[in-house]
Amino acid sequence: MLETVNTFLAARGIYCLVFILFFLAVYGMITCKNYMKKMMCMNVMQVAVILFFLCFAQKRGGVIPILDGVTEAASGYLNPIPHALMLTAIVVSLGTTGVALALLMRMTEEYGSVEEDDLLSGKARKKKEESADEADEAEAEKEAEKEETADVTGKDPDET
Amino acid sequence: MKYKILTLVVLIILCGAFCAGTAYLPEIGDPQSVPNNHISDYYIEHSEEDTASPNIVSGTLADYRGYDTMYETSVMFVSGLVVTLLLAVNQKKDQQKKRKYDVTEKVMGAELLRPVETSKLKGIMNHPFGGIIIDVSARLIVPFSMMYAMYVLAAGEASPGGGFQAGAVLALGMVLGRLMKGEKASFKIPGAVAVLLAGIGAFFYVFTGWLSLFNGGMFLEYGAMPFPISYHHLHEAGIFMIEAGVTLCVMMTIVGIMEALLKREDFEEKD
Repeated sequence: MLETVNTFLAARGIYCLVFILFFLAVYGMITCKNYMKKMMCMNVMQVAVILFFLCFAQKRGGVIPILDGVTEAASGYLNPIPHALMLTAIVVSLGTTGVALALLMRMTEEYGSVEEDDLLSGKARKKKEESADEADEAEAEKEAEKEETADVTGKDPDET
Repeated sequence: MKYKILTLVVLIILCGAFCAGTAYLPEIGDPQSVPNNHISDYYIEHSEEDTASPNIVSGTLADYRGYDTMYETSVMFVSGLVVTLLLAVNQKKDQQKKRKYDVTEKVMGAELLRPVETSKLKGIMNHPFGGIIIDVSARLIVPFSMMYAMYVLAAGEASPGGGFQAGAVLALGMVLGRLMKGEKASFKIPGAVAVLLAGIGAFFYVFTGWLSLFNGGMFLEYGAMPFPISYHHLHEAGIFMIEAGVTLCVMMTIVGIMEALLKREDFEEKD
C-alpha cells in the first residue's frame, strides 16, 4: 500500500499539487465578493497553469537546456519548448494584470465600489448618481454666481 | 454560506477527478514521454547549427518560433497602450481643472495659470514611502539590478537569460526608484513617452524581420540578413536584435502601466 502511494507520488504527485492550487484559485474566484481579490485569484490560477506546463519539461538526469559541449544526446537536456512558451506567458500575465487593474480603477471611479454585492444591488450606482446630482447642483449654483458677478463687473465700467 | 459549502464540495469532487485522471498524463521525468519526443529532440540536436545559439530556449523562442514571440511582444505593447488609454480618458473635469490650474503666477506682467506642485496632490502612491533604511538599501540594489539586466540581455543568447527577463529586471529598478522617491525620482519616464518607446521596441522586432526581406530571404530568416558576416554571426546578431527590441518593449510597458496607474490616482477623490 505504502509502496503504491510512494510510486504514485514520485511519478505524478506534482500534478496533484498543481491541481489543488488551480482549484483553490477557482474556489477563490467563485466565493470572493471583491473584484480585486478575484483578480489575485486569477493570477494564482495562471501560476498553476504555468507550473502544469513546466511539469512536462522534466527529464530524469537532464540538465538545463543550454548546450555545454559535453552532452550530445537529446535525452541529456530538459525539454526547451515548455520553457520557451511559459517564458512569454509569464510576461503576458503581467500585461493582463495591468489591464485588469486599470479596469478596476475606472470601476471605482464610476461606481465607487468594487464589491460585487454593492454593484449587483445597484447601491453603488445610486450613491454615485446622488453625489453626481449634488455636484451638478453645486456647479450650477457656482456658475450662476459667476454670471452674476460677471454681470456686475461688466456693467460697472459702462456706468462710470 | 450555503453556496460556499456547495462550491467547496463540487470543487473537491472535481479536483479528485482530475487527480485520478493523472494516470493518463506522462510520468514526471520520463525521457520517453510524448511531450519530450517529436519536435523537442530536433530542437535540441539542431539548435547549434540552425540558430547558432547554445541556449536552446533562446534559440527556440527567437528563431524557431520567432512569429510567436513577435505577437507576444505585440500583446505586451497593446496591453500597455490599453492601460494608458483607459486611464487617460474621461478624467473628472472639474477635479482636473481644480487641481491642475489653481495656482496663478505673474510672469512679466501677465497672469499665468501654473500646474500645482505634485507634492500638493493627494494621491497616496505618489508620495515617497519608507524611511532612511529602505532609501539606502534601494540605492544599493537599483544600480546593480540594472547592470545585471544588461548582462542578462547581452548573454541571453549563449547562457541563461533573454529579452523578457532583462526587460522585467530593468523595469524593476525604475519602479523601485519611482516608488521610493515619488516625483523626485531622478530617472523617470513620462507615461506617454514610455508607451511610445514600447511601440518602438515592438517595431524594432518587426524591422529585424524585414531586414532579411531585402536580401531575398523570408520574414525573420536571420541567415539572409544583408550584412557581410558569416551565417553563424548573422543568427547571433538577429537574435540579439530582436531581444533588444523585446527588452525595450517589456521594460517600457511595465513603466507605462505604473505611470498610468500613479497618474490617475492623483485625480481620485480623497476628500
